[in-house]
Amino acid sequence: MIRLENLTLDIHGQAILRDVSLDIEPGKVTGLVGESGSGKSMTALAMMGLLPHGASTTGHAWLDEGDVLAKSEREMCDLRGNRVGMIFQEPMTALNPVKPIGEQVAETLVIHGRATRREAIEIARARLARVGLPEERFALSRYPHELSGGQRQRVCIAMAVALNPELLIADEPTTALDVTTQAQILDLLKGLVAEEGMSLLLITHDLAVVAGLANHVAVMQAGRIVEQGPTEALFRTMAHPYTRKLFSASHHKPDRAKQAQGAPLLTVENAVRDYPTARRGLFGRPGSFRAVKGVSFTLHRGESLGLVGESGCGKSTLTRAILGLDALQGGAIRLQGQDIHSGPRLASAIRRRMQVVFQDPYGSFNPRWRVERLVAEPFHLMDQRPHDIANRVASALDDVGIEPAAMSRYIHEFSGGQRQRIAIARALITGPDIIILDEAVSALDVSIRAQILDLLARLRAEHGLSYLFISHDLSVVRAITDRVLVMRSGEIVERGETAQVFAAPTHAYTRELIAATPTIPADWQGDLHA
Amino acid sequence: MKLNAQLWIGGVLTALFIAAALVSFIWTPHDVTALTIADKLKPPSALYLLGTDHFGRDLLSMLMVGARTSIAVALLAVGIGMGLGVPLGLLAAATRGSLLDEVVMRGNDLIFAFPSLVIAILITAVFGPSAVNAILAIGIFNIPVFARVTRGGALRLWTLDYILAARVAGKGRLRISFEHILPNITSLLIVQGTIQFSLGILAEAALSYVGLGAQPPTPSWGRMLAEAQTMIYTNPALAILPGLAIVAMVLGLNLMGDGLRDLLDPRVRRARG
Repeated sequence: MIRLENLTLDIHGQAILRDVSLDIEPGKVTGLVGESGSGKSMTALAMMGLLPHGASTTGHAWLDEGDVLAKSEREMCDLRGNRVGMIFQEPMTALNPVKPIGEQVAETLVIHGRATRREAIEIARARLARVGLPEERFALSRYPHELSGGQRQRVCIAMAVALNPELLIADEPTTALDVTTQAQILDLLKGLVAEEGMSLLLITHDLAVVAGLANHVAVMQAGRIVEQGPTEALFRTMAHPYTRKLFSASHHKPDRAKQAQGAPLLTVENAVRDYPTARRGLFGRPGSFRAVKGVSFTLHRGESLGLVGESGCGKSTLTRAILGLDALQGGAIRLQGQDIHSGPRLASAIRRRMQVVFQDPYGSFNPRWRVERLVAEPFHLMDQRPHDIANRVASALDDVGIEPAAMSRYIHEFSGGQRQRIAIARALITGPDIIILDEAVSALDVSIRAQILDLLARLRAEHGLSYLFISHDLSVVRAITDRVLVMRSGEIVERGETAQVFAAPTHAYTRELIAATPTIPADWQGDLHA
Repeated sequence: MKLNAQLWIGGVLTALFIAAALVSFIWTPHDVTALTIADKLKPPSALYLLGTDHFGRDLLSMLMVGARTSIAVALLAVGIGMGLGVPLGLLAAATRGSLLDEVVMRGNDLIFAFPSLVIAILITAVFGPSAVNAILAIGIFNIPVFARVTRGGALRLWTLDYILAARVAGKGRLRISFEHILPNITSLLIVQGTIQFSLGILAEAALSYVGLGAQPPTPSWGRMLAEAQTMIYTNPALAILPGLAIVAMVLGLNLMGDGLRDLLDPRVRRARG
């Protein structure tokens, strides 16, 4: 039995957690939900004794009868991995790239003196088989880079549960994974909890994940638990306004007036894109990988077209070709009949009609430029720079809800949501016909995401924009697109009106995607939908 | 922010030598080319603060002018290295994987493969010993260092979204290199520049020690060391003082380089918490 009692945490005098009390029952899944900065990860780190420097805590974190917060670092080392295991969000960096997976799992056992090397390898073999990596197919001598993201996360889970800990903490364990992989990992966690009788603390921003997995849910806001209770009861009542706000934000559908569909704007015909792969041997020729295999579609003026697919399906490669950044190996992309090709000689008259917003609000801007210069960058595409740049930047910023005074500030002074607004302003500045949104809302919290979706809907109506909306997130695509394309391994497997595709998917892969997407059972939402 | 002691000590030491070198342009206690044989090998006194050498020249004055020689040679050598290495590195990164990239980087490897001081001796031996040839010799070996640092830093930046955004804005690779890449690797270059500067001082001292650097009568620390060698038992101060000057200057620059890296490199800054 793990019990947090009035846990309060300050870091360098700044309040992080306030009176957090939470019971984590054995054999049950406890969900901790909140937006970024709400303190949910810090709660987990406090339980592991892994707080950063300058942290001071009051209250208790009882693990059986011992207070974790009162333990020395040496006692904590013994406790971590042994009685408390942890899984992190990013399986790509959580494993040591130069150690085989079998050895990494065995290492935990050896460090805690639970087994000799030989026994440890035996246990590692059994553990890896349990998490779905049987030795026949995944030899213990494999290295992390030979595994996919989902397989690596399985290795992380095997490491975390190697010593049968009483508590397993999973911090956004599936956020970096594709939706079908996410479903498998969640199933695995559920099975482990049921079989081994351990407690699972599942930290996530996604209400739907919690709804499908947790027995008990706590909702966290600004360092406090604002509401907690058994999952179904909590979802049925939603007593706290913040819970309701989170819920409605995650289901947000911007108001969209049905727009008249214009003439074809962008046509992609049998686009083929090959990638060179690593050379085989010292003098071997580089191989090649076909990432886009003859894709065709048309984007009409004023239309919002969704492109859905999992990572590695070729959607980003296709985007780069559409933007004229990479050359095609076959087929053609045309903007109202004008050919788009890569290379510096692509006419800027074509380029300025298409702009893009990227996923990562932190990597999208040169940190050494002021906002005015950042937003004005696409003016490079104009035949001559307009003389009223400052006015135009101000009005573009105003359009996306950023006060024009922000022009003289640097990008680090803005939050993720604000940065994404500035990125949209940059895309708008040349008055384009098409904006490509490459996972543009995937990195944002649900409430911020809802605001950005509203903004996109408004801008589209005001400026008559067409969107190519690329995402792995089905719920967002459903909310904002008119038509949708489903892409898998370089091919479009299904296309159609968004509502129709979601209501009656014809291709098996689309059905699989929709089934894997976590949802909150419809009858739990009675009061809100009425 | 916590006081960065390294940066302070290094900065003060370096500033001291630069000040001495600058002052020597307009004033030195004595003329370094005037030989006063009557006053040879004098101990420190009010007239000669650090004493005199075997020709009766004032040691303090020689050290001041020597600092000028060292700093000038090292600075110009770093200038050559940066001036050619940084553009080459930017070019290699911008055309990653192309023939040009290969040519630049393998050319780098070629220069790296030779022990730098030996080649410097070769160059000065072929073209004659002079301060200019010393500058060229040291400078050439700075080129691959800067090219490599620049390329490494630039490659990391080329994968970022804001570079992609600049390409969508129709900017060419050259323009992106100078507008986006260069400003974001300046901190790397400053740190590397400080380190190369201190290595340049050492290399200049070594070259003039073997008589291939600045020629007499221009004083230089390396040659002062060489000339004092025969008198090391009778007049140890003659060897110790220029030796100390070299050590203090190089130490100062290295401390400053480390301090600057702590201050400017966000990765180190984060690691320190």
